[in-house]
Amino acid sequence: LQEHDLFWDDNELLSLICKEKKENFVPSDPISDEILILARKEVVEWVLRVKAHFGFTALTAILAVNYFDRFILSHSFQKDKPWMGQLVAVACLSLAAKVDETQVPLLLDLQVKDPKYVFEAKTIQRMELLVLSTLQWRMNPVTPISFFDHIVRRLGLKTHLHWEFLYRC
Amino acid sequence: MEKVKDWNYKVVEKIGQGVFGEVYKCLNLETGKKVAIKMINIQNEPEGVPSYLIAGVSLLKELEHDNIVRLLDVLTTGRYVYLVFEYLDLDLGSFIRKHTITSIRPHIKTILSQILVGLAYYHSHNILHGDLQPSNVLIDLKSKKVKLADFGLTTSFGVPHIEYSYKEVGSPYKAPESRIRSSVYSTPHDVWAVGCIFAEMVSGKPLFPCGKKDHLSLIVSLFGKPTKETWPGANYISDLLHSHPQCEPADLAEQLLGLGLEPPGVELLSRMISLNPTTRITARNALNHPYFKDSHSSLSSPHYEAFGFP
Repeated sequence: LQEHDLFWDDNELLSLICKEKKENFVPSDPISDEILILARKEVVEWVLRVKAHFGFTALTAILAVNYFDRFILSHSFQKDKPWMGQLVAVACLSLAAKVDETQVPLLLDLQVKDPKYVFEAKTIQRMELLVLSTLQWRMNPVTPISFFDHIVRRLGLKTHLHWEFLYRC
Repeated sequence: MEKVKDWNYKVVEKIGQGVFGEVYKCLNLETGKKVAIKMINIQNEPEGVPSYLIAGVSLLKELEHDNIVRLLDVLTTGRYVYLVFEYLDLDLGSFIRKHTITSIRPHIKTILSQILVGLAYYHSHNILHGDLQPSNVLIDLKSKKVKLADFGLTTSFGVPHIEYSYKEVGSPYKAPESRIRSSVYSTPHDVWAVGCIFAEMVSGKPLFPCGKKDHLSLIVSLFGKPTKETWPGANYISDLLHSHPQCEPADLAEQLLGLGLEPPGVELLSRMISLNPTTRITARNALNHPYFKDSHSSLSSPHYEAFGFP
C-alpha cells in the first residue's frame, strides 16, 4: 500500500460523505403515519424473502428499500389504494436488481413469495418509470455498504469473511 | 417525437440514429435554448425498463463537468424515454470543414486539452465514451468551451463493456483493438479516437478516412504490418492481416511537422495512437505532456486559452 493510494482513498471517503449529505432524504419528523409504517413493514419483509429466494445481494435489498422509502415520502404515493404498496415494492425491487444484479428475473417471475397482489409487466413498468422520475433517476445512493466496501478495501481485508458477512447482511 | 411539443420543445432536425433510438436537435420554446433529445423505445419489455437505461441515466445524473454536455432532463411516456441534453451550435467536424488548417492551428491546443480534460473526467468515473469523433465534440463560441457529447447511440452510454466486433466497424475513429475478438474494450480506445481527432485538426482531413479502403488496410499502410511485438493481439487476426501486403510504415511525423505541428505535438500524437493499447498514453498523462506546457491546461488548473475564432 503506497502513500499515494491512501491519499486517493481519503478523497474517495470525502466524496462518499459529501454525496451522502447532499442526497440525504431522511425526513425531519419520523414517519408517524400508521398506514405507511404497516405498509413499509410488509414490503421490507417481502423484499427480504424474495432476496433470499433469488440469492440477490444485500445491496439489492438495501437499494430496493431505499427507493421505496424515498418514493413513499414523496407526493407520488397514493396510500388510499391497498395494492399500491405492493406495486411500488415490485417496481423498486426490480429496479434495484437491475442496478446491482447480473441476472435479473422477468417482471412476472419476480412476484414470488406470496405477494398480496400480482401485476402485469406493463403495469409494473409504468410504476418503474414513475419511481425513476420521482427519484430523479438517482439510483446509486450512498448506502452503509458503500462505507463497508471502502473500509474493507482500505484495510486490505478482502477475505472470504468479508463476503460471508455481506452475504449474511 | 411529436410528443415533445407537450413539454414545450420544437423539433429542429434529426441528428442521429442508432440501435438504441434516435436523436433530434430541438428548441426549448421557453428558454430559446437548443437541446439534443435522445428518444429511446422501451415498449414491450418483459423485464421492464431496460437496465442499461437505468444504469446509464443514473451515471449521467452524477456527471457534472464543464467539458461534458449536461443531461438536463429525463422525460417519459409509457413507450419512450426522452433524454434531454445540452446542445451547442457548432461541432468540431463542421469547424474543421469550414476553416483552413492555418486558421484552426492556433486553437488546436486548447481544443485538444479540453477534450482530454473531459475524457479524463469520464475515465476517472470508470466510464468510457466509446464514440469519440469530431461530430461529438461540441464548441461553444461564446463561452470558449469544448464539450463532449454522445449522440451517436452506437454504444448505450459508454458504460464499460466487452465488444466482440470481428467484422468491419463503421467509425474511422475506432481503435485497432476493437477488431480483435474478445479484446477488452476499455479507456485506451477513447484515447486512440482523440489521437485521430488531433491529427484531423492538424491536417484538416481524417487520419483514417472511411471510403474505398477498409480500416485495417489504412492502419497497416500507416504503421506497416503489425507484428506480435508492436501489437500484442495481432496474432488473433493474422488471417485478416495475411491478405495485406507488407509495406513500409508511412512517415506521419514528417507530414505533420510539415503541416506546422511542433515536435512535442508529434510525440504526443504518436503516444495516443500507439497500436498497443496497454502502452497508449492515458488522458490524464496526456494532459501533463510537454506539448501543453505553455497552455496552462491541466487537471488541477483548468484555465483555458480563449478562442479567437474569426
